[in-house]
Amino acid sequence: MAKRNASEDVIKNFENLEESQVIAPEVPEYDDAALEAEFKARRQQQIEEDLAQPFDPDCVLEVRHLRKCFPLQKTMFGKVTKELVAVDDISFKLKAGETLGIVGESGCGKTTAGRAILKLHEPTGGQIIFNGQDITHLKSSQMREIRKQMQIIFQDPYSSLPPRDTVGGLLSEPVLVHNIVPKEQVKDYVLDLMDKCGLRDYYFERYPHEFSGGQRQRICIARALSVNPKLVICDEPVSALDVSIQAQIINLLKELQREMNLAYVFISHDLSVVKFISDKIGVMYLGGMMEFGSKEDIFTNPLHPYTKALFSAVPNPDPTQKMQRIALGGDIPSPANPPKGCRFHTRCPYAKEICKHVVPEYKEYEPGHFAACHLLEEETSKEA
Amino acid sequence: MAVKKEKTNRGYLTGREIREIAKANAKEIKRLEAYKNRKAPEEEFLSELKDPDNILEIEDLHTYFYTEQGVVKAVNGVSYDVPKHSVVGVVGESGCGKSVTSMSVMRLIQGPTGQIVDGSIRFHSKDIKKDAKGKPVLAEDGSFEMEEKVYDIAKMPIREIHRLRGKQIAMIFQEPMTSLNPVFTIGQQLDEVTLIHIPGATKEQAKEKSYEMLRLVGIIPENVYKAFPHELSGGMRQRVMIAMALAAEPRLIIADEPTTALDVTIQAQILELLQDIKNKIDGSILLITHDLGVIAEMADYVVVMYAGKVIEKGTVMEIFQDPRHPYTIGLQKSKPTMTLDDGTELYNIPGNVPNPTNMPNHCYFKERCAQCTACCNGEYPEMVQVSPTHFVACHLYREEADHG
Amino acid sequence: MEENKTLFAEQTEELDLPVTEEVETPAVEDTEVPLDRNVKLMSPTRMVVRRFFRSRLSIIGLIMVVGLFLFSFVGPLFLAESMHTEVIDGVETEVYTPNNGKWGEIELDESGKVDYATSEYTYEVDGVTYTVRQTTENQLKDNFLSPPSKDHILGTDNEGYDIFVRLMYGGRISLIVSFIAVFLITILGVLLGGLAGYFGGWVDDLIMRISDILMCLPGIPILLILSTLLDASGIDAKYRIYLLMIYLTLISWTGTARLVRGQILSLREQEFMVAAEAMGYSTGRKIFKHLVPNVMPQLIVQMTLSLGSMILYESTLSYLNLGVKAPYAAWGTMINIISTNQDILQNHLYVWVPAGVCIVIAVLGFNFVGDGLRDALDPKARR
Repeated sequence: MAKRNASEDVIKNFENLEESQVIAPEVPEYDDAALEAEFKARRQQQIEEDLAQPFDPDCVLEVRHLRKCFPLQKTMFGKVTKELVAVDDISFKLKAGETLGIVGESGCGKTTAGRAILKLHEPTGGQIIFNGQDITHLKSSQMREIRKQMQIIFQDPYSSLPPRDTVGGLLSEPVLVHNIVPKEQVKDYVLDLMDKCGLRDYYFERYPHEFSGGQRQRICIARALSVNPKLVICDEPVSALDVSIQAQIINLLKELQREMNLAYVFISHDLSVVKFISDKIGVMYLGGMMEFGSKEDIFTNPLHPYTKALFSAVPNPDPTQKMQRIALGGDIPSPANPPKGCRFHTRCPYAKEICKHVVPEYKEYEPGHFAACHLLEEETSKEA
Repeated sequence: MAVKKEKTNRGYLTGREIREIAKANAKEIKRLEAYKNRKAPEEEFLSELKDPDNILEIEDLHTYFYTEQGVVKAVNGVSYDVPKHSVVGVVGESGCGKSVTSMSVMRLIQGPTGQIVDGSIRFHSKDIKKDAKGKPVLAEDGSFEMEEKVYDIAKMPIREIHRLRGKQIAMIFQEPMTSLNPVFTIGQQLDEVTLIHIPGATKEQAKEKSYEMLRLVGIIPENVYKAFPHELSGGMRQRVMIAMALAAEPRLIIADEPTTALDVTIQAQILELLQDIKNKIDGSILLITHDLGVIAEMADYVVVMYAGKVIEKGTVMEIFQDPRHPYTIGLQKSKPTMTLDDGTELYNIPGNVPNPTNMPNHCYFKERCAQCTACCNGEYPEMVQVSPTHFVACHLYREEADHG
Repeated sequence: MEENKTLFAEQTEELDLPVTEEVETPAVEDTEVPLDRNVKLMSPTRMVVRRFFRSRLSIIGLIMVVGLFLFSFVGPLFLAESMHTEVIDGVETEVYTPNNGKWGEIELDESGKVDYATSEYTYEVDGVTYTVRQTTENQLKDNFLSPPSKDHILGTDNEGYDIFVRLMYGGRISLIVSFIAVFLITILGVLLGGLAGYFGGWVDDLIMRISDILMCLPGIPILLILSTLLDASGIDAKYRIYLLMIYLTLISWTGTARLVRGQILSLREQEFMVAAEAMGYSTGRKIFKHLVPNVMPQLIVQMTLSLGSMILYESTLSYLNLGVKAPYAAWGTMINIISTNQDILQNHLYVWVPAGVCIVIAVLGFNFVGDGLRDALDPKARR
């Protein structure tokens, strides 16, 4: 019975979606243009205030109001008329040896955020402070020195390794380029590194295409670590791997973190993996940070309805426990054309009129636990 | 001995070995292609089911790929049954042969490299009876007369397979983005299924049926019927794929990783949908996935595969509550779950899935197994029955079965 | 069941880094070699070679091409005469050292020259001694348009040149000229295409617009004009073909440039390039170490295929009497003979058919090899 209700919900939600699109709600008290202008002004002020703050010396990475837009349409003279806001105003701090997990569905901007932090995409706004240095506006020649301290591991272990280079060659290259060790010691250094990452020494002369996904991912990790970085962005490093290999790679990452005191930004759509590896978790939806907090906060006391729905959607490998699902209707809206107001309101089971017009503020509800939702605002104001 | 080998052999095939492999392959492929393309009377591929309650029985299936590097035994003696009105989940890591098995059932193995070499796939077909001219036979009340037969799909010539494909056995693929034809509307593609498989159906009837199917999968038909695939999101496309699969009212639906390419919240929707239609349709679902969570939610029976062989099979409760094979146990332990309290380390199965060429004749899991004993160096373990429905291929339980 | 669980708990701690441990403590002697070491694979080079030789056509193509090379470059050493320069009267002159039954490129068979044999008879009539000098005109051999014989393997043409030897020299010119042209085209194409693809933006726009303009130019009419100009400037007939081919190069790099640009555009988005960027490699290293090697397969294929078309170009030019001019030999010039004499077209096939066959063999050969290489190097075909 319960099953059937759920699927009817899905259908109903579709209908709701249709109606909400067709019939424009004539509610006079919400003047969208004015609200938007007010919101923008308020946010601008907030950003200016925050960016003027001094850097936190304890943090390896500090991201303040990071924003990344991609132009969609340009006029003939190069003026951007329409843009896709891939990452909209995200902020967090990360200490050495810590892991920040970023979860979200496809198109939520988590990958773009990861690459913008490394300045592989030039950020449109905000600040990236790495190791007490503002790197937001550094030139690519200046970045080259800093690059060896921040590395990235990709999702697809097949396309992220150059196809025409041996394992030994592609691992030695960064060591040589950045002069990590003297030339004579490079081979020993690489073999040592391979051993650390669980790669056998005779792989040195082999080509990447001879290896399975798990071994290739180990090679990718070895390459990232070859330059002794302080920060590693892991962009869905285990999503393409089998379960048993996933566990190996996660363990390897954890062990290397302990050994080398690495800071990770772990991007994934898999909540259970993120839960296992992270200390802090950020939940993203359509470019914006919906909720941010420590792992305990997020998992024991999720505040945002999206986080709750996301948790309930993960299938549980235990046939005795049929989970109670919060069914989210509809599809993820296109990030090129995000909904007005709260970006989640089209799928939110608790959405109210205000959610369709006013952007909720990203606030600290508990110490270190941030969220952006009108329902929470109402609750807290009631309590007060 | 090992050292000597290291010097002479850097792990690459010599030219002579390559030529030998190519020669042997060409011979085998020629024989199997001839068998596949032969003309045969129907009696030759009719068969009998072992258990009349089954809809599909796979027995000792061998599907090989004749590659330049040797014969890859992707499916190497697989046997399992799909009972009527049930969901059978096949789980395993990539390269374990779970998809190849299902492709063998559909006879979609890419020739000439891929060939069904041995074994039988018995399928209980229930189709519209046709006379000698291929016209449907009508019963007295005007409806189609149905006829029940058991075909052995593995022995069917490829030209006869159209009797089953799409109509009796439908398939839902992993990639909703590429499995719909981009130049036709959803409506055209859905109508086509009905028009092909139901003799004498008119366009109006087909459209009606398509609307019905779209409603069944939770889509408002008016919005989608005239849309092109690129206008729909991944989740919607997967719904359309399911509608297409259901349109011919198949007796068996093969869902090959139906939710893997989707987001978690969309996956939840599709799983709910599959749960729902499972009860509504008159057929069985063969669900192939690597996600234990999906299996636990959906399946009645579970088949665990490893390196081209079934290593354990049983009901979903048996597999999840009382897993026997070290691989099954390891697989369940190594998956971080939402409820798991974080230890310092995740359990993991060491090593990698072995390359399926040059497989030794002992348990394929031996190198990765933590409970390996002396008898594991012996022959490949046979299936041991631990309960009426629970089978496991592991030496650890052989004695148990002998005593019992 | 409980027993199993405890067993696992113990094992987990030991299996920290299981892969390396396994190597250090082999259990049985047979497992000393790890399982994946036993599995044999094909090395990348062997994979390419194997796929190339799998196709019968590419083997035929390779035989054709290699045969042509031997014929044109090694053949003359044995069958033709060497040409060398000697200083005669203070002027450098090309001199042939004649040899028995061997002929040079521009050496006429003069054996057919009219030979005047004079004989004298003296006889007396009525005490008067008469001397009769008799001159007999004696044509020893048919020197021009002679059919294949022991002396001239493929006979001689209307001027008396040895066709077989001239085929070799014609092949030399064709192959050298087309190799130079393709080499230059590739250099230009890779450079400009690489710049356009890697930097994008206005660089890309500029290079691509230039290539658009070049593609609009009508090649042959401009060639005609250029050729007239060259005639007027009095440049040695031997070198004009090189100048014309350089012109061809200047207008034909666009295809290669587009290919390279397209490849680089798609490769640039690949994750290994993003990884190279994240590694902080310099731009030069990224282009030449990571991008160019990945374009090489397509480039090699393109080069091989355009060798064929360049040979065709060269032959066409020579046929139109724009390229290599008589007395120097080229396949095109040799076919051109038929345009002067209808009789040769009909009755003396041995004069022009061999040159035509050579052109067909060269172009087909390069195309077969190119196709074979494409199949062999195409990463999509990799299984």
